[in-house]
Amino acid sequence: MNFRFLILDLEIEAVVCITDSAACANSLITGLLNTKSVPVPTYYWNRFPDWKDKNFDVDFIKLTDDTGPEISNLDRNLITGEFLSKRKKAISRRNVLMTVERYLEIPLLNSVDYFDNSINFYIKSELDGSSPEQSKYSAGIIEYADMLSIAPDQAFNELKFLFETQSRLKIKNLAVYKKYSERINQSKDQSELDQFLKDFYKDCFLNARF
Amino acid sequence: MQDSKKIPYQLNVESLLSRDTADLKHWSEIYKILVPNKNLIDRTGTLKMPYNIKLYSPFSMPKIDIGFKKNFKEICLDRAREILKKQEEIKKPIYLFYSGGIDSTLVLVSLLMVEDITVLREKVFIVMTQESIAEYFLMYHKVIRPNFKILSADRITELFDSSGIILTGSQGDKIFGTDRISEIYRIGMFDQAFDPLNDFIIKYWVSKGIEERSAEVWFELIKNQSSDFGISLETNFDLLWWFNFNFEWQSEYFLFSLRSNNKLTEEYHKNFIFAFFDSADFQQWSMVNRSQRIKKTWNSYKFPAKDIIFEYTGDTDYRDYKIKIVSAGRLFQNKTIPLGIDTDFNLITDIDKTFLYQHDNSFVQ
Repeated sequence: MNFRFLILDLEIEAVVCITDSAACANSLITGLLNTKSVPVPTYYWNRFPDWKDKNFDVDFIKLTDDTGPEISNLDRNLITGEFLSKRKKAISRRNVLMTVERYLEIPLLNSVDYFDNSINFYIKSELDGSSPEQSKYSAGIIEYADMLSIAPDQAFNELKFLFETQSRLKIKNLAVYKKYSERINQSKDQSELDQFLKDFYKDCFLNARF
Repeated sequence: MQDSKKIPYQLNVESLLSRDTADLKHWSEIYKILVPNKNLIDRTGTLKMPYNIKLYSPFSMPKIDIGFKKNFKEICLDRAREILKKQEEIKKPIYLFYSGGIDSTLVLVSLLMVEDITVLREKVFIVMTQESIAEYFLMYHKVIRPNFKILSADRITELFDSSGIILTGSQGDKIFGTDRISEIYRIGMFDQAFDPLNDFIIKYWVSKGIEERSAEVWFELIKNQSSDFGISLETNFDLLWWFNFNFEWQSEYFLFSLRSNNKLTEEYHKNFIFAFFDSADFQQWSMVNRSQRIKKTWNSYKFPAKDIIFEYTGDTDYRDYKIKIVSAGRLFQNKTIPLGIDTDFNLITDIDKTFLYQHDNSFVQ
């Protein structure tokens, strides 16, 4: 099931903004006091006209979630300067977080060569069950080698390479995301956000170029 | 001595870019087409840049030998033999940084041409990413997978530990010209690049946002400097090549070792890091054989390299259609690196602009 994520102001049950990324939603709420992320299945937008017609970044929407998410108009008296300021801050941060996420996703997507993400767990298990120094390989490694008509040591070698590449890349990406999302969610204003984004580009891309 | 008061071999110049004075402005403008990690050093020692970044003596520009006769293949094979000899001497494996691009594929092929594959597989680890497989699947499928041990290039920082010789395809782009020609092709200026030297480069630089006066200053300085050194730039492409070959050589070399994050001694650099195309012969070949870099199409760039690869693989598609792309990009992403390396090979974390500034630099008009 696919979800969209609404950032909810818990004090007044108002939708602050929306994002399609769970990581972004969970990150945003760490920098916005009294908020939580409410995942809503995307079919709500397909099935219910009142959901489809709303702009969750702009409209003033009350969200309750007692027996499933329900939306209604937010009472005018709850639309305070404090709420507007929280929304502005959330949207600015979300936009930068999404930029960061998009760039970090690129190498992950470019390294996908199989459709089941859980494969790394099984690869690790087969690697751990092998002992290349003694030329002993797990049944899974031998099966992989047979299917590809390569020697078991080459199969071990290739799977180890795939596992290491994926795990290093993911851990490096996680570290970069943590570093920048934490800064973004503590930002004071737009100029700080712009600077973080500039630092991010430098750390991640400019320094990589020869 | 304070870290900031050391003279660098390599420096990220971002904080030095300025419009405060005319000389700094002209010099800084070129960084509209370059990343700040790329510090420009005149290997002929003629031009004095506004900031004192020292030429590492092994990279001094050799004088052109017009009688130089070795062909490209001979040079590749000699270089491969030289590196394997080094490997024999120090009895450590070679970590070949392989992207599947033309330069690193040629390095692998050169090694394969001088050593039997059953022997070579015991000496060489292929350090690569998943993108390396995609960039040249046939080489992976037929040569690397069945024969070589592969290592994830994401472990790059761990490999600068003297456990093996790091071998890269660095400087390949410099001996052949410049991959900037791809962009020139896309903006429709490809044919003009091969015209006799004219104001093409000024127009190209201006199209990239460089102020016209600064573009003219750079053009004049390079034209005079190359001529003083005895290099005749006959075509616009010659100038693009010379810029890359002369000014960008040193920073490409040091940017690789900056990824180690630890101090690497000069001794380490001499014994454990080899840029395959960094040799006197390759440089002579580059200066003498100007017609051997590209034909009249963009995908013919580096054709002598692709011909040798073809000789080994028989792969006409790669020979005829493979284009030069920036291959190592992903490998170095998401990594904070120090500002530079000083002449004692210490990592630089702080810069003193005033200390490095040279009042009598060549950009003072």
